[in-house]
Amino acid sequence: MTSNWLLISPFVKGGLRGIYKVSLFVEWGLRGIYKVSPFVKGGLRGIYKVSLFVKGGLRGILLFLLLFNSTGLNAQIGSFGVSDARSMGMGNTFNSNTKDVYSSGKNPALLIPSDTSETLLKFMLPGISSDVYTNSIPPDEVEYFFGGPESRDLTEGEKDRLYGYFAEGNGKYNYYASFTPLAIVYKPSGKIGAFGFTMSDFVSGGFTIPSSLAQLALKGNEAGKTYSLDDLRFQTWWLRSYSLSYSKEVLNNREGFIKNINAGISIKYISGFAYTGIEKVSSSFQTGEKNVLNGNYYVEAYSSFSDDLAVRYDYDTVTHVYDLNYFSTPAGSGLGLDIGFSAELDSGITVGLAITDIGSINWSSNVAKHISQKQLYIDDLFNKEQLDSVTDIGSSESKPVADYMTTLPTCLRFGISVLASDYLDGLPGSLLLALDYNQGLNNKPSNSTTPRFSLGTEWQPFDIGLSILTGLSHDETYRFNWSLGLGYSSSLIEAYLSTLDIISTLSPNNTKPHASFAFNLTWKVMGN
Amino acid sequence: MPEWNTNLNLPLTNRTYTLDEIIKPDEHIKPDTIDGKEIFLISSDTMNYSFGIGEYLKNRLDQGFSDIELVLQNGEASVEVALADGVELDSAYFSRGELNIDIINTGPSLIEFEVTFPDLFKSDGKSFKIRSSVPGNGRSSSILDLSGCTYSSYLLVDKSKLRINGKVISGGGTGLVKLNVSIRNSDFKYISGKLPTMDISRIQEPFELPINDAIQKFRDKFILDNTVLSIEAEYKTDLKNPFEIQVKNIQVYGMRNDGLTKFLEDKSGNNNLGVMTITKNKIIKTFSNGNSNIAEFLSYLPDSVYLKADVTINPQNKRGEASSSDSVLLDFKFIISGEMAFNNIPYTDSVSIQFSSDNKKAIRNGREAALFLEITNAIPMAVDFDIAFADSLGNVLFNKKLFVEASEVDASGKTSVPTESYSQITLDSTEIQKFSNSEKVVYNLLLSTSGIGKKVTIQPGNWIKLLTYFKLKYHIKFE
Repeated sequence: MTSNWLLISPFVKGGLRGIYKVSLFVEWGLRGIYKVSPFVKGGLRGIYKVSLFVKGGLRGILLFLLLFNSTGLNAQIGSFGVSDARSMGMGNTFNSNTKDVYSSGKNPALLIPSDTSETLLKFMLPGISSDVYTNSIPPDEVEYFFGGPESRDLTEGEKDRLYGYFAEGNGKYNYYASFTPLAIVYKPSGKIGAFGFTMSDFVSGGFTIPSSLAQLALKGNEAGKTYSLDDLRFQTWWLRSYSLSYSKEVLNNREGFIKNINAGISIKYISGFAYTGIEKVSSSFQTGEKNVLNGNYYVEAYSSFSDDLAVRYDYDTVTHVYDLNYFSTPAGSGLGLDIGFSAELDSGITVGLAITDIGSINWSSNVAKHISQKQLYIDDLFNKEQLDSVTDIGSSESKPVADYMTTLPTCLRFGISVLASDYLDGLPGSLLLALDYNQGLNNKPSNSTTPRFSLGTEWQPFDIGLSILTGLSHDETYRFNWSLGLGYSSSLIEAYLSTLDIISTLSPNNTKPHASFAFNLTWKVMGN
Repeated sequence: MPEWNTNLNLPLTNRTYTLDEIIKPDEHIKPDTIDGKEIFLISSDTMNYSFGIGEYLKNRLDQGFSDIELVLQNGEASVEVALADGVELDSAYFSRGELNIDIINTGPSLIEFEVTFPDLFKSDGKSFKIRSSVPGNGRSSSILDLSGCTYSSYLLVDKSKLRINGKVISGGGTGLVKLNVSIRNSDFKYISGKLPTMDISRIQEPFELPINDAIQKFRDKFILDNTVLSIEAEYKTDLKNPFEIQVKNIQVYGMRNDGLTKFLEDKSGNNNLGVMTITKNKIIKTFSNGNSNIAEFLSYLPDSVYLKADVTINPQNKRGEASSSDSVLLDFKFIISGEMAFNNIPYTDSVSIQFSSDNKKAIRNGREAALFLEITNAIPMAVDFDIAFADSLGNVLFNKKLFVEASEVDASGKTSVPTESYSQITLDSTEIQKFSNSEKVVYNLLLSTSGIGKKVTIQPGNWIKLLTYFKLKYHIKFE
């Protein structure tokens, strides 16, 4: 006889099945957390790698730049890029006070100095400029938090301290380097004007770690709070500029209020060898009511590389041979224009006005568009689709595009300088004071719509050609830099050695890591 | 390398389950609609009992006839004797039996005598005959096997008689020959005619119910509402005109292992549940709340259910037919609707959990967790949870409690207003570590329907919404 008379037990068993499912929730929930945690860890790993970059990268980048042992006439410097050693020593101040070989990319009107001999021929060898800085975690803190294999369990205070390095406005990393294999200025006469030709290479860029990412990693997601990663930034390029400049005095009235006006123009042919940059970021992430996670992000980026860099995309079917050299095949090209004016007033004040890098680059070789986007909505960690949307977060899709255009780091520049020693009786030697205002018109490597002001001075206390350079400037977060440099000038050479931030240079573990260095040696063939 | 605690605020689940999702319909439980009301119907396996009517066919022709006088004329004689007990035999097929016959010669000389039963045939189709030499004033006795013999009385007008013929084959005299004839141990594969009413053995059959320890806890704590016991009787025969069978004095009672019994009673409180008259067709007798105390009876949860009944064949003493392979199949089935009331029924079950090493590692990174549960319950059942987490040896590592209120119900017992329960379960660091070592989750539940003693209707569309989320202090470590 068979019988099964469990009466309501099937109902109870059904209920228990439900309870069992609840128990699975716990297991799956933890799996969900576990899947989320690599995301958090991944973000932190990114921060950590950036910090390592800051720690060890500064030395590496400097070493890298030194390998380009070249002369430098700087161009494409944007509003925050560093320039020649003389300008750097003066707090990166140059709009009205630079001269001849140093003027390219800043104000072409100053190619023709009014206080030099009728005939001029100068070239620079060598000259390098580099600048790497961050307003994020300093090296000693990197060592403190990330140094060594032993674990450090962070206290709440230490977490706050670490987060501070990535908090609103922080977390920026910028780098800039230039080198010039050929630069020459020739002024046959004042009437004809001055000619210049410059061939310069630039590697510059920067990235910003979103503060929200650091906040999520360190403090978790706060209920009811919306996070944005819109301040994520990354852009870098390697350009080469062939610049032909001309400058001429267009007004000469020694008796008037304006004693003279110089005008200058530079036309540039630009080759690009590599570009990578984020074009658009739109993101929002919210922990809503009942901890519902809701968000979206869209990141659009482009890249282009010279064939000789042999970069291979996922979709590529052809593999290029790595053959990077100075004459590698460009990945893009474009034209640029600098226009500048300078005027000397009867009071000894010189005013400079320029707009530089009008133009664009069209990248056409190995151009890829990368899109990463995700709509995120999680109210149930046991929903497979929802969980999957987390697990493949950050993945991107790349596809080839025919070309991509980037504008040059267009910048409006204004400067005023005066030979202050003319007004200071008893001051030995000559003292030049200069004030700059640089306004980037776009956000490109080394260029920012954040205005930059700087104040610089060059003091030649003795009549032996020795000059002391110093100045104050600020970075994109308005942190001040105190620059310092030395110069020497004779009838044969000019030499300058400087740093943009002497405090950081002398104190590597300063809370404002800023490694900068510039050196120029200019040879005077004709004129002074 | 740094490590720290971060606070994660994460959702856990936001979903609604209906009972027909939770309780997967199967052969025992399925949704149905009765009187326009959607309910669950819970049915037992069919229990069955079968009995044959062979007993009715045994010895029905056992009888004896003594001193049957054969008055010989021209050496032959014929006689008809009446069958006992009013048996009228149309035809029959013997499966067994023996015929004892004594031929008594009252004459002085030896005779060769032949007795023939003209309506009884051997398996070869020939008439049943006995030839014997009988000395003067002597007798001759024979025992003959009736197995395989057939009987047909179609030539007889009076089916209640047995014809016997006698004939002198050789020998002299015209005296009287007497016969003693008896049939013993008769049994039939088939028989037709009129066999008298007969009570066969009483049915007294127990049906064991799988009442385990868990189910025992329901005893005396729950009340069923709409329940049905159906008894279906089917006459298994290939014959056209079988004898009627009467199952009478039906009693159904439940017995617990401790000896306590409870009878299924009609509305008058009578435990004699009447008669089922079974003819060739199926017959179903149904006990419901309308005619019995079936709900109360099933709520009693006996360990065994007994069926007692008397069986009478051919109660009206009519003509019919029967075969030894005929039988009666009785099917019993309980059907319970999802209408019931219970209070504080304890229920315990457990499930094994096995975390992978990765999962264990992830769990152990938890430092503190607060689980928030917002449960909207449209099921008229409250559940008081005591969830214990145990190691592989069954040692309880820690436990947590949770109470989910039952929905409110209307006068008919259906959910009228879902209830909302808010609970919070916190796990500290130690408990989280223990959780990672858990290998078994033991659920101790107390189940109660809405309102004490009030019958509720458990419907397939009843639902429960689980909105749960949690705050987790999670330890992140660079590796």
